[in-house]
Amino acid sequence: MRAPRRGERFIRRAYRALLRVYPASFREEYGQDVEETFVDGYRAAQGGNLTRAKYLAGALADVVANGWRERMTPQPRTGTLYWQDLRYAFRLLRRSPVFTLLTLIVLSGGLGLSIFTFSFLHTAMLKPLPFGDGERIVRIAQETTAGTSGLDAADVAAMRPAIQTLAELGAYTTRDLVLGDDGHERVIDATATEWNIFELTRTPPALGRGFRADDQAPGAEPVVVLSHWAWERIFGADSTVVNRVVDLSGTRARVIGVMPRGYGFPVAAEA
Amino acid sequence: MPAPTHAVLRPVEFEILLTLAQGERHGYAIIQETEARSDGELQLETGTLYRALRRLVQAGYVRPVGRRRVAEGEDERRRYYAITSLGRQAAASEASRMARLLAAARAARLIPAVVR
Repeated sequence: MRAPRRGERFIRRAYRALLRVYPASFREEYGQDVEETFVDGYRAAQGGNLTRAKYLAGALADVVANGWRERMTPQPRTGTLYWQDLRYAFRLLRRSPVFTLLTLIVLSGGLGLSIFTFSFLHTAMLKPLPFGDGERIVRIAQETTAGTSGLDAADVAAMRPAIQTLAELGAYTTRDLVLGDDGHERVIDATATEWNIFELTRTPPALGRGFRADDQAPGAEPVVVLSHWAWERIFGADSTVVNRVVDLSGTRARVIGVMPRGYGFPVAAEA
Repeated sequence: MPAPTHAVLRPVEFEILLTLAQGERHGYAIIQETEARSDGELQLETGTLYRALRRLVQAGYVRPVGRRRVAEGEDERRRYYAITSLGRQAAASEASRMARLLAAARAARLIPAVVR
């Protein structure tokens, strides 16, 4: 095996760079052959630096002239050439793995981000709520210069008789409450609503009953419907909890029902 | 064996076919043999050779036959090219055309007649 000398390696590399004058398709097919034939000629050009310099000058002129001519020559395009282009692209990618890897990372990162954004927006804004007739439920809020906020209870009461675009109107508010008997208290994210919440969401409770209009009457006993989650965590999925009076942040409230697993309003309230 | 269906070959292409008609060769060997045949008058440039080879391959006159060691014990390989039967026909057709031209030139006394 002939060990290539350093000078030859350098000249070889320079010649390879010079071959870029040729169109890519030509280089792909004949680039290596051209380079090797050039090296063969370079090795044969013995007899001092002048012979070599003459050979190199000739090679330079040859590449520039023929490369340019080859670029000017129209190549027949056939259907198989698209397949060739594809193979050529893959070969190029394989030749620069770092670039390929980087491109893949950037591409997959970008794709992942846009998929995440879309699915988030889809769930939060486009997809109907997971209730019966979910696409017909809307949330009303008031918008002021200070931002978006809920409506005043008095405003809701004033709006209710005049509203025509909505079949039903319900009000709710969320707050953190402490729920549970002695030693089993937990802070829960509760929703206080008007009685028609379960009618609105078209979801009946799994145990017991939902709210009724008279639960909302002045002087009525405070009642609570548990989420499936709260029923399991705080009351150990005990079905006798229905009708029991529990402590809800200091208020005695009667448990009247338990909702099915996965139900939550407005998002994932726990009771 | 006239086969007038073949397009007229360029001189470079004819030289290459002439060399390959004697056997498979790699690029540098084609250059050397062509140069030797013309007594050093025709010096084939690398770029000219491969552009012609590309045309010949596209025309189906020549086909690459894979990479081989140039010599025993050598690690370096070169791609070899071979003439196809279509290439042989084309070269023969070109040679016949040249023979006719030569006969015409002799008849016109441009060059002396062959002395046998």
